[in-house]
Amino acid sequence: MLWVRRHLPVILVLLALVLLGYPLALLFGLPLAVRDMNDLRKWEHRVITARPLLSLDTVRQLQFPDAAKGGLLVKGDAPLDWQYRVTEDAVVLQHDPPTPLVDLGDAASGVAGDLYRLPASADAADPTLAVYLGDRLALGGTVAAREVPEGERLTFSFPGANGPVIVDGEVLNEGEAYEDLGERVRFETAPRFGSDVRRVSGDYGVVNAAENLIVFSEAPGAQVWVASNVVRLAEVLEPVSDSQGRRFRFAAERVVETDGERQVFVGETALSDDDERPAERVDGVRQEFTFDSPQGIVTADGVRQIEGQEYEREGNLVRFAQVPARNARLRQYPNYYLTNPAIGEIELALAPEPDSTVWTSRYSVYSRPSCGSTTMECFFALPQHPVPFPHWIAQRIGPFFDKYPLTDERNVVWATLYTTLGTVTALALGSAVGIVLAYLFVLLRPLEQALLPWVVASQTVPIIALVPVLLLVLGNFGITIQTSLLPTAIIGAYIAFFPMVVGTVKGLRSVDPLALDLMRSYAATPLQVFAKVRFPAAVPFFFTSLKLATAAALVGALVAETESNNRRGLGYQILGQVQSGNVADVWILLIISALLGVGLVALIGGLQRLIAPWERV
Amino acid sequence: MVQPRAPQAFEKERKPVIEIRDLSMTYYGRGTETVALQNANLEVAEGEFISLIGPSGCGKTTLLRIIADLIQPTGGEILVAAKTPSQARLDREYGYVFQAPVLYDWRTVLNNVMLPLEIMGFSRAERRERATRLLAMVGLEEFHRNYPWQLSGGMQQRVSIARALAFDPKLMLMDEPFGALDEITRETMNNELLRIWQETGKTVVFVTHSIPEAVFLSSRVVVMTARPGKIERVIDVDLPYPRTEEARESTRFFELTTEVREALRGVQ
Amino acid sequence: MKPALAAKNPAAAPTRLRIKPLYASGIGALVALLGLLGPFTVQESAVDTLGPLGLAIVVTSLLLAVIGRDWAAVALLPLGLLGAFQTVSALWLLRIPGDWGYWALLWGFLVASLGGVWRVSLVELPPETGKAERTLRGLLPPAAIPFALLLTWQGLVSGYTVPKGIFPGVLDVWTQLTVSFRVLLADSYVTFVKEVLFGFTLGLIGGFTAAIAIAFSPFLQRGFLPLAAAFGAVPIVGLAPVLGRAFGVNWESKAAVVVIVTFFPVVLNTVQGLVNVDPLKLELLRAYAAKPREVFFKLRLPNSLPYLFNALKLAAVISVVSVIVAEFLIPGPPEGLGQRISLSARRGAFDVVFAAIAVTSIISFAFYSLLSLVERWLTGWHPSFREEPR
Repeated sequence: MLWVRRHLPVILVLLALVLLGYPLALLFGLPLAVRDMNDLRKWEHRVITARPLLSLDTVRQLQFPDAAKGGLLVKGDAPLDWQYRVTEDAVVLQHDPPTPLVDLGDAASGVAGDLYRLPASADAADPTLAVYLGDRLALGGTVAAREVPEGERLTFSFPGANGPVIVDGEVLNEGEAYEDLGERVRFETAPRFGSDVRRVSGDYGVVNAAENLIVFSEAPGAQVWVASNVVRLAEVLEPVSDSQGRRFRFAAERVVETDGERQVFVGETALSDDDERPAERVDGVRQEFTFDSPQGIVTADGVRQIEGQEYEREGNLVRFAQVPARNARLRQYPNYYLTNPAIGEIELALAPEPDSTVWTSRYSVYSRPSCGSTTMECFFALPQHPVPFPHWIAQRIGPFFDKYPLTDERNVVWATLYTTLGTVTALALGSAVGIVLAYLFVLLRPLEQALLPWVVASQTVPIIALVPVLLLVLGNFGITIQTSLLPTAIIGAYIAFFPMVVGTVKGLRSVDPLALDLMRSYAATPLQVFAKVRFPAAVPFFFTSLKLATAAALVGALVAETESNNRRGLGYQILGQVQSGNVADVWILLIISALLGVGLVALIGGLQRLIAPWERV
Repeated sequence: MVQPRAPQAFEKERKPVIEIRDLSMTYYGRGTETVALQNANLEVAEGEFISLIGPSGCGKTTLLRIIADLIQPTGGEILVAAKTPSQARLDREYGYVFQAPVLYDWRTVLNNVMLPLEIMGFSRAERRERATRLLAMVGLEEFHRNYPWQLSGGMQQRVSIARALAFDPKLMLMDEPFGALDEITRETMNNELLRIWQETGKTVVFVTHSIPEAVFLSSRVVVMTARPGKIERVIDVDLPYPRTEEARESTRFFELTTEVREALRGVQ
Repeated sequence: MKPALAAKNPAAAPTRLRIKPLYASGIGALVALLGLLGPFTVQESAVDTLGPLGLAIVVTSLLLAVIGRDWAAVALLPLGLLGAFQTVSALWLLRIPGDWGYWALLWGFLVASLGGVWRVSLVELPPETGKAERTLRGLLPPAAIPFALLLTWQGLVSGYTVPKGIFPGVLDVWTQLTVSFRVLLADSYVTFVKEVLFGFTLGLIGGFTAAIAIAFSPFLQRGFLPLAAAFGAVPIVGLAPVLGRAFGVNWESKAAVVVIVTFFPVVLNTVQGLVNVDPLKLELLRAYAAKPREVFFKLRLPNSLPYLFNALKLAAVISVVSVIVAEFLIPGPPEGLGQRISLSARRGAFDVVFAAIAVTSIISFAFYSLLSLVERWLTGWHPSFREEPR
């Protein structure tokens, strides 16, 4: 209890720091959440494009399950002139549509009722082609004969097929040319060598792709029609106020990506978004440029130029009021120009006819951010929090330590031990060098004069950068980081030796001159002077700098571990967790490292009390 | 303006600068009580030079610090310039000289002397004028641009006296100002101090543990005892002013030092 | 300037030197002479390679060593370095391994030069020596050391013909430095101006403000200061990626790293400076009935300046190293010295690595020196600047 009372401020400050984690987490996390919310790429969004007409029920409804409200019924690239209205997810026709939607040609002779020619515009090879029997989607397909026709064989088997038989693009009549034996067929005359022998396995089969000829396995009892992907629900563009009626805006809220497939139509005419370059070089002197088209919207370096102000037009010739800069990008958009990509506003080069519809075949609908509908939801949905809530870190501690069994080298306990070992080695090496150098400096003033500026300068060398070089050089001597702590220790020692030199020199110099005179009066040897006067005087300075050096050695060891890829140590683990995005684990490792530093410094303090009990720590 | 003084004769007519009645100061430590001052009674008249002398721990510094309102007494009454010490401090009634020079390392000698003037809001020109004049008075005008570490101990202490005089307080409180100086410097400083005192006519309360110093400087010597700190005796020094080196060698001087010494011995 | 009171430190007197330095130079020159008689490489003799100039340097060095006067030592210092440079650059042009003649010349010249350095730094100048000469003589030894080190480096690399891809020589690095000067300059701008200077300023302001808050609150002092060691031990290795996540991969996150490594030393030291005030100096102000504001501006603030500058000098060095590490750990757009080093090391261009490191060190040292100058200017009164008699 007394302990708590005495350390109350420390405990309270620690508590405050932990609590500070919450506002910090919000401070750093909320901007990311807001960014996620505002980034349309991270919204739930659907691209509405061509949709095959799926069904046409008795109430004359065309189902567009995924479509947004509003739209335009288009066949091919032309808006349909049927009368209809668009409801929530369907288009309701006012009258029966002309059927079939796509005319199938006359039945071919010989096999009346089951051989149809698709319209020329429909591509039989198109995988999206859908042939309907009434309101049912028909399945197409043929199966090749299992046996190879060698010119003499009469019987062929077709597993899973019992439709009409097709040989080399000809439909044979059952009973005349062959006899049906269930899944096998016996021909009257043997198909010639190498011919293509197939049988329809689905509702219909393609007889001749080039001629768009299909055959039904049974005579269709219902209306046969083809729904082509050219019937679409498209978007009408909203006009934006413009004196010449040339500006339009996509109805979908915002446009993020440059949609290459988007095409703008006026009535039945598709407009291309091509641009034209001037025929002449933009040399910084020329003022007039020729473009291919006599109309269009002109931009210079992506900035829209206003006709009548920035330029005048005479047919294909565009004359700028001010000479365009050398190598400026001059472009003319002869059809339309996306004036504001953010909100999808376009401007047509020519105003459309008064009654024509301006529309696009493809548009995007953004419903809501995928992370959630409020900023807080998005905050909690962040994949990686820069600063996690403290209790999340606390929850991770257990699983983190249990991730690997204690016997596994990857367990954090082993990593801590490895880093400790590296730090202690670095400290030993660094302080040895530091003390020797300091003693030499004190002993030989010239040496200090010549070297001390460079000891200071040495610390400005980013030694961390030399880790790869160091590994290579040490590797040449057969010392690799897998087998040795040396590379880590050298880096740590390089950083740690500096405070040792400075502190120890100060310490050895801090000797009371009278104490030295006293030793001289005793005729003491240099060694005795060192042991009895200089060393004790230097001890407090020595330990102070040793504490600084410990922290420095730890930092050096950790950094060396991140650079050296030997899969050991806290530094490596930190980097690993960073790369796999476990921020909470990174924080645990950070806290472990900090505790390790505090522990080592405390250990040095204990050592000091042991060695120099006369000094108050 | 230098005039000989006979303190006793005029005492009743002068108004008192410091009045102390039954003043006590007890320090409370962990379960211990240290009585630093017990029932002290003293009256200091204007223009007097009072020395407080006594062995270590007799409460002379404590008394001085109470007068300066650096600590607060645990009992008794005290009036400084007819006010409470706290009010006297706020009204800047006194200048304080410490055992050490307590100069600010980062200020030149001149700036050190100007420090109290800055705090008390003197104009820039007046600060300069006063500080230069006082540095001249303590004989350090040519050092005004130096930093404190470049001066010897005696010079530093003279700067600190100049600083205490800078804002012209009526009362000077001096806590063993020459304690750390060697005997020769100390005697020189004593002469200087007497000269300044006579030039300015201040009231001085001077803490020392040097008997000759106390006798040489003071108009009255207050002898104090240790454990508990008490005022033992007050000895009038009737050596005539201005006192010179001859005064140190006069018979009366020796009689008085003997008297003080005996009073101190009687204490122990 | 009045004489300082600081006692002359007997420890400073070079009393126990037994080797007479110019003997060392003489031995060095003799070794070089011996080397001049030997083979420089497998193919060529040393005399042929170095020619009359080499012979002249050797003989002059020997003569100077024998003369052994003060001025001779001063002359030996650059002469030995010149000889070593001649030797090393001759072999660098040949690009084949050196023979024993080469090694004898290299080490001989270096020893001869260092012997000169030794003597120059030992000599007690007579009191009537002018200030300029004194300064110049004081600069000679520290100036000679890096040249000797660089020559040793290049000498070893040339002597063993170490390939550039494993460990480049000084001359390779110098070549690279001149070639990619513009690129490195642009990198330095990003690293130092955008990242270090910005972060440093912010960390300084923030740290100082925090320090004032802590200094005025005994509670925070008792609660915060014991934790200081723990803050110092939080490794930048782990912090940098976290900051990268919070501030993005551009320069802002690296500046944030600098803010943090500047913040803590500034807080700790400034608090010390604001709190460790001589109690007598405080009482003096109390005696003047000074307001707290005056106590702060006239006493605590000036008192904290030396502490602050210690922290700033430390932070200047640490922040550069940290920003390099941060650029390693937060790979962003390929700009900045750290990224340059990291990318070049990955493709084995170690001459670029060393060139970038050299630029970093130079700017970092300049930053440190600038702070030292400002410190001397602002806190010249502090005891650490008192002139100590040699």
